[in-house]
Amino acid sequence: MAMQIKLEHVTANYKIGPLLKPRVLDDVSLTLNPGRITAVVGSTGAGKSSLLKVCNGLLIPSEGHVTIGSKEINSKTSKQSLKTIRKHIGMVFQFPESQLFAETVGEDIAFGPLNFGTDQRRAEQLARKALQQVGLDESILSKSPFSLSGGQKRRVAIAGVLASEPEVILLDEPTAGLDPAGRKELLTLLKRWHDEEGKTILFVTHDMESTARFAEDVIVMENGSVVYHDAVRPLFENTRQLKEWQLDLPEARRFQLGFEAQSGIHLPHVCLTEKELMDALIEVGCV
Amino acid sequence: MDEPMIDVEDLTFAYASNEKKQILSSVSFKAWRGEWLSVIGRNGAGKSTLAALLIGLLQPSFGRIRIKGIPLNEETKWLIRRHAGMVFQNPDNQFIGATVQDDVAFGLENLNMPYEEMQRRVAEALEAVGMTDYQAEDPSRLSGGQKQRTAIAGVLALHPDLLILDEAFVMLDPRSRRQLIAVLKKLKTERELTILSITHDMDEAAASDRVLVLEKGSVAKEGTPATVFSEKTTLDVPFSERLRRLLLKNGRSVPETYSTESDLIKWLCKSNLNT
Repeated sequence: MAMQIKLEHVTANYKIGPLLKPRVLDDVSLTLNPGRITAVVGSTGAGKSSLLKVCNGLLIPSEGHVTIGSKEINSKTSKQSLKTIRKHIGMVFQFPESQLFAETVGEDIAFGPLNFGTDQRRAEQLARKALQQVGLDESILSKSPFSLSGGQKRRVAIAGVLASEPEVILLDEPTAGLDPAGRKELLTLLKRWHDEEGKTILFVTHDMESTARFAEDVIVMENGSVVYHDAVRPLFENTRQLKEWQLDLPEARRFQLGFEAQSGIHLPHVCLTEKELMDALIEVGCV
Repeated sequence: MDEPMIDVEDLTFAYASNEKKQILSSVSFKAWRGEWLSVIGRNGAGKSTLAALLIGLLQPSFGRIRIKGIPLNEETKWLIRRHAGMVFQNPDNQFIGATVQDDVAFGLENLNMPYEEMQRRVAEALEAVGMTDYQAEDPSRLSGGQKQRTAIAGVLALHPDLLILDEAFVMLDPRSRRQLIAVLKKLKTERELTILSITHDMDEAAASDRVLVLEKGSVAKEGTPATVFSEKTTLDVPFSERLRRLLLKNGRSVPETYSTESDLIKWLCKSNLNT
């Protein structure tokens, strides 16, 4: 079974040098269902990235604690024990391609496993496997990461995290800057990895389409608190609540509501894709 | 009509290390004062290269660019940058100031502007992007979307005639994105601001005056959003067009060409009355 992540009354402050931003997370309690894909949404500055960071020990709770598998992180956790946690919880930052550094793609991807103590041969095997998981050809292993296109670089950076064979992968805006087709491709690859390996994915996004199409669960954050944590579809039912949280609707749902308001016809289901919308329109005999 | 704000002719670009591979080949287009032009296309179509060329960060291999009638070259690029502001995709690469307001003021300080005028412009720009409450904060501690809005304020404070946005809205949540689009539309009307926006957001493209489609370094299509989205392409299209095509594919009757969302809803309501 995949690793469980549990937050209990977690409060965290963000500190850079002498500056302190208090309570970026404010008494957050939640249990991440293992083996699920969960999207984290909310307006800018709501604490989405901070939530990801406490899940792998990059941000240490000032109060409360985080349990990852059998390990607990609280304000007294030592740095050494965090390393073993990070081996199991992979983190993909915003614009991860800016962190590529090695001379070849192969070295870059193998760096993670080597760093966690894997031997050279095994690390290379893992690198090849990870490259395949992100849908890239082995022929680029010997290329410089800097010769690749933006979308390819992004995938190499993600492969670098997958190569350490994490139990959970945390991604901060993984599709920012990709075109809609590239976005879909990347999420499909991640979903395939999730389906095959049965592991947990937690990703931050602004994109309600990605949320509607790829996530199973959603966490909505507001001012450092979790205000919703449940399945995707019920979230998009309550439009008044969504407005309050400043969240957008997926396009199909927006269209559906516009149609229902003007026609006076109520479609039988909450529609999240154009296919569902078409089926509903056919069902009520509108087209 | 007077001179175009942007006049690009035969623009061609290849990196010196690989001259055979043209990132852009023979691109020509114009953008007029007060016009919002969206440039769309897949990743790797040459969009960001075009933006870098327009601001003089890269030198064309062939062809020419005129901004407000001035040919863009090494000597004129500093003059032109006084009229043209650019905001990039990743806001982390664009910060200089210790606070949000310092950062926004930085460009103005370079212009030797009187202090009071500078204060006024900074306040106005922060207001426009909804960042007034954060003016005393350290930019590095802001969220991705707040950083992006600060970067946009820094450019707006300069009162440019031309604003070039290279995927500048990607880090914004949809609500701030819509607010910012509304602000830019207002500036476009009030100050005749010209906007060239490189974007993947089809709703944003649909809201602009004209759309330019880049494919493999060439202009594949150009026209109003309605004409561009009606044609059969591999392009990502707005939602209403995706639904229209899906209905068509499934043998249902639909409007003949691209309709905006509200037109398609009207159409569906009407066709429902008739049956």
